[in-house]
Amino acid sequence: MKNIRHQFPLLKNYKDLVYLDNAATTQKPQSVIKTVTQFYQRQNANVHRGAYKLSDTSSRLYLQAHKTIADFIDAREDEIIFNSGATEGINTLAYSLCKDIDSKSNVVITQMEHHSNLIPWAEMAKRKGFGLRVIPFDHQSQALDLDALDTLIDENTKVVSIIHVSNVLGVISPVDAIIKRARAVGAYTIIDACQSVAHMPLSMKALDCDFCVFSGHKIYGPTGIGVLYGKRALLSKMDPFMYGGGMVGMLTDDSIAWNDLPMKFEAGTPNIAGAIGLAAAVEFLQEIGMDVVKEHSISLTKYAVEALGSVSGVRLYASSAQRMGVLPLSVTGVHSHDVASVFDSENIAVRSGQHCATPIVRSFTEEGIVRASVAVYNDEKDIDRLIIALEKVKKMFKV
Amino acid sequence: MSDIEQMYKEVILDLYRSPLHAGHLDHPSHEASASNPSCGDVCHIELLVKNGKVIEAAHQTSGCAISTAGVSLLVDHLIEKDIKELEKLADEDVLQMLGVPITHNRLKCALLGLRPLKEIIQTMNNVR
Repeated sequence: MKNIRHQFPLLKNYKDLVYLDNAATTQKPQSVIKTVTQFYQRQNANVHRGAYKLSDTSSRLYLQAHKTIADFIDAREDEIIFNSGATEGINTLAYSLCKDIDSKSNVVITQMEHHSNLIPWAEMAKRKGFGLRVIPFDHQSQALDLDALDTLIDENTKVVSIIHVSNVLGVISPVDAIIKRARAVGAYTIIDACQSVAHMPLSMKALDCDFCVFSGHKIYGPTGIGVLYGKRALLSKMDPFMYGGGMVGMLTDDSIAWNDLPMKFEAGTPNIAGAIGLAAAVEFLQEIGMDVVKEHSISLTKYAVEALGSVSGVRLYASSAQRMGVLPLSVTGVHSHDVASVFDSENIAVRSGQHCATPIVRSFTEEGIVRASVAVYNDEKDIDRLIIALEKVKKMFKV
Repeated sequence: MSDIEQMYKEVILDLYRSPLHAGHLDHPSHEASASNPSCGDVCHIELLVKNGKVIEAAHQTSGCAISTAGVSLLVDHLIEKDIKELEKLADEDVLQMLGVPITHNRLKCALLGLRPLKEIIQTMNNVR
């Protein structure tokens, strides 16, 4: 992919920077920054409220943002709920779907979950006394172990909530098989698409999940904006997550009717600039083409896996797994934090530690994992720099 | 020497490979643990305190070079000191013991050992 890096002001400001912490957050293209700035300079007003021109403009842009996101993930615009991010998305779903759950029920997640798709369910399980079941990661086959799927997901399973692409390993979950099994027992299905949405085209219709969450800042959008997709038929039946302004349809002395979708689930003044900024980010991706983005992620990941395989004393976790965009590694005898600090001295930004996904990290190592993760602006030269920096780590620590 | 070479100078790397006072005390009078959830570093400190003075000290630390070296130097400093004196120990003192430049994001590594120590002193004060 050509002419991408120069669209990112931060990368232009730091020409020597090799930014490989994209699974944590991506940099923002000029088009997103400009859209957000322009909104505050020329379009800012509250939405759905004023009769004046500015409010009309901001309301239109905000609604259009729903449509842009809907087109991007092959859904309907009234199925797109804006929130602060995937964490809010899963928390609201956990509260909502566990409201009437009894202690005989269970919820199923995987061992690869980010804490955002583990802690809300663990907390609900504690409060309600239901079981939290985990689809294990099999270190032999380097994939989720589906052998016990039919017993893990049974007629008492109410929710199956799974990460699409692991933020630690980049390993792709067999979502089709899991959703199919969940559907057979009538459980709700939730996909955490935080990583996958940045690397591959997503179709809610094809995935056939009930809900899907992701955060805007991991796909070149602003921080503080996220998306909760829900099937229209389900959202129509569900109670609102939060109550307040903007989500009420008809209010009389003794009755309240909820507003139409998606406003029913967007109480309070929304993050208007964030939503419009996220729509600009999606348009940036659509301009490149998600098929091209996917091809780039696959080929750069493959290049990195091969390059890392040739460095002695460096371990790539789940090295032969089917993966996307994420490279988890360690240097023998050096703690992950120290590796990341030496990388930083070479202007290479990576993440180290537990990655808010303790269960999967601990299943590999107690020392934390160094994670390099790629985006559309990365290229083979960035990976080459990473390899050179690994040699520096080994030299400094004499390993 | 560049910043990174200073941070990982030989003395730090030596302490990482062979930490001082690593292990357990036979009869500790006080102990406490701390961890850094984002990186998974764990540190457990054991003290034998008699008449308000630290007689023996040991630790088990699993962490990066900076946290392991930091805990080593801190625990070494505790021996033969009065608790009253140790009460005054501040972040800066530990950074001074390390004597290498520590970036903001690594402060929690460098200061890992202070947390169990403060907890021990707090417990002693509560008992008093």
